[in-house]
Amino acid sequence: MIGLVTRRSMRARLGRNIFIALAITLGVAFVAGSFVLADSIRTTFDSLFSELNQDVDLEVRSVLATDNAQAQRDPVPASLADELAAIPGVAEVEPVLQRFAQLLDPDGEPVSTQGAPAIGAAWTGPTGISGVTLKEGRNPEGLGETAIDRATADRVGFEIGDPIDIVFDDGVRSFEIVGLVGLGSADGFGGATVATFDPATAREVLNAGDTYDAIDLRLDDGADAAAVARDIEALLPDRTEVVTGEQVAQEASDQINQFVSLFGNGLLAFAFVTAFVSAFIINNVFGITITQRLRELALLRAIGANTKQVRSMIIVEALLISITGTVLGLSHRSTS
Amino acid sequence: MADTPTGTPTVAAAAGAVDARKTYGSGDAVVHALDGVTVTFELGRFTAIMGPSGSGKSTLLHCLAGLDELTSGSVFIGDTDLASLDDRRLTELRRERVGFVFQSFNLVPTLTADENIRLPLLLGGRDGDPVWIDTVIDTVGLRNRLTHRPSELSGGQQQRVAVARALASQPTIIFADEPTGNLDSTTGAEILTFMRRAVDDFGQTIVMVTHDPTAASYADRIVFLADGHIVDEMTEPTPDAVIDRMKRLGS
Repeated sequence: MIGLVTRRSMRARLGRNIFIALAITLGVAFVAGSFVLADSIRTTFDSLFSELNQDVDLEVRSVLATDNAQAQRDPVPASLADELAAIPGVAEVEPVLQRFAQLLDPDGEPVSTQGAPAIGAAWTGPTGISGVTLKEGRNPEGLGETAIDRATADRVGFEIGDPIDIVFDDGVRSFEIVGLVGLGSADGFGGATVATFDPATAREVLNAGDTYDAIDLRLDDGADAAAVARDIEALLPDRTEVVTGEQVAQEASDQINQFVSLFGNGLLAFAFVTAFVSAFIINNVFGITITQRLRELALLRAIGANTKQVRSMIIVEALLISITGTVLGLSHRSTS
Repeated sequence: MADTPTGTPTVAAAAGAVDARKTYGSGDAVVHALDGVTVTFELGRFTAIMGPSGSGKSTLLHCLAGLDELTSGSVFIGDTDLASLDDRRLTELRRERVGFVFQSFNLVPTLTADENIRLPLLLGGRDGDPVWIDTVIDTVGLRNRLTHRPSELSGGQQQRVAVARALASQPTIIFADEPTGNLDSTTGAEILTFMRRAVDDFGQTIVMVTHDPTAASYADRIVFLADGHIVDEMTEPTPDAVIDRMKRLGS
C-alpha cells in the first residue's frame, strides 16, 4: 500500500525527482570520472614506459647528485658508448639523448602539443632497442635530416621530403623529413611531438657536446646480466652507475604517478566540492518536499499509517532517486 | 457547570472522556484548553460539539481520537483507555476503530477516489467487506468518480470521498472536524444528509465539531463547550433553538 503511495508521489513530483537525480548523477559522475581519468592516465604512461624500455636490459647513467628522484641527472661521456659496445655479452648500444625541440609548421607557427612536451631525441634507427619504430621512409642520417612522429605529421600535414624548421635551445635549424616514426604500434607519443636525429647529429643540434643523457644496452641472448653489469662497472668513471631496464621503467612510472596522483587529487577536490554542493541541494529540496507533504503525511498518520510506513515511504523514495542518480552517474563518468 | 459525571463509560458508550484536562504553556501563560471535561457519546447516535472559537472543541475531538494527548484525565474508545496504548497500538486503533473527516485536506492528492476510500483498510493490509464498500460508494453517489484524483473532484465530492473513507472500515466511531466548513450551504447539507443516513441506516456513531447551527441541527444531541468546560446540552435540536442557545451562551 505504502508502495502505491510512494510510486504515485514520485510520479507526481517527477520533474523535481529528475533534478535531484541529475544533481546526484553529476556529483557521482564527477567523482567517478576523476578516478577513472587519473587511472587511465597512469595506465597510459605505465604502458608507454614499459614499451619504451621493454628491450632495454641495462642502462648506464650518472649517479644522482641529490636524493631528489626528480633531479636532472648529469650527462655521461659520449665516448663511453664505444667502450661499452666492446664488452662481451653486450649485443647493442643505444645512446639516450632528449632535449627540447619545438617543431614549426609550414607557416612558421609552433606546432601545438596541448601541454605535452616537444622532444628532440637521438635515435639509432629501426633496429634500435628503444621502442621507437619506423613507420615510413628511412631513419635520419647526418645534419639536415630528421624523422618526426607520424601522429604529428598527419595532424599538421607534413610528408616525407618536406622541409621543416625546428627551434632548439640555441636557435632555429632547417631539416628535411626523411622518415616518420611511432612508438611501438602507435603513431604518436601520447600527444608529444618527437623529432629524431642520428646520435651524432643529435649531440650537435641538441647542444649536448660530447655527452649523452644515458646509454641503453641490449645483451646477447642468454648472457648473464649480473656478470655483464659487473664487467661494465669495472670500466665506468666515477659517479656513473649501471641499472636494469625494469628499474628505469619503474622509476619513470613512479615519477609520473606522483604527478598523476597530484593531478587526480586536484580533480577529486573539485569533484568533492560538486558532491558536497549536490548533497546540500538535495538535502534542501528534500526538506522542502517533506515540509510541503507534511499535511499529507499527517493525514496518513491520522487515518492509520504507522511511523514505520511513513518513514519507509520517504526512505524508499530517497533511495530510488539516489540509486538511479548514482547508476546514471557511474555510467556517464566517461563523458563528464 | 452542567457537567454530569458518569464515571467509567457504560457498554452503550462508543467513546467518552472523564475529567479530561489539556493545558498549554506554563506559569502565567498557562492556557486550559480543556478544564475537566466529562462526556459520553452513545453508540449509534450523531452528536455535535459546539462552542465559540477557542472553547476547546477541536482539542477535545483530537484528544478523543488519539491525535493529541491529555494533560490529565482519560479518554475512551469503546472500553479502551487511550492512555494505556503505545504509539503502534494507538495507530492500529485509529486505523480500525476510528474514522475521520476533516475540514480540508482530507484526501491523499496522488491517489484516486477509490484508493482514498480504501486507504485505511489497505494500510492495515485488509481488503474490507466488498459488499459494504459498494454500499458506501453507492450511498455517497461516487460510483462514476472512482478513478478521479482529488484535484479532479469538487469540494463536495472530496468530502463525500472522505465520508466514504471513514465509513469503509466500519469503525466504532467517526470524528468529523468542521466537515462542512469549506463548503457552500447546499453542498454542506448534502454531506450532512449522508452523515445523518450513516447514523440512521447503518447505526454508525458520529461525533462532529461545528460552529454552524444549521449543521449542528442534523445531530441527535448537541454538547456546548466554552472555555474548556461543557456548559450546556440539547437533544433533538432545530437550527432556531441552537441559535437561541448560542446567543444566550455568548451573552
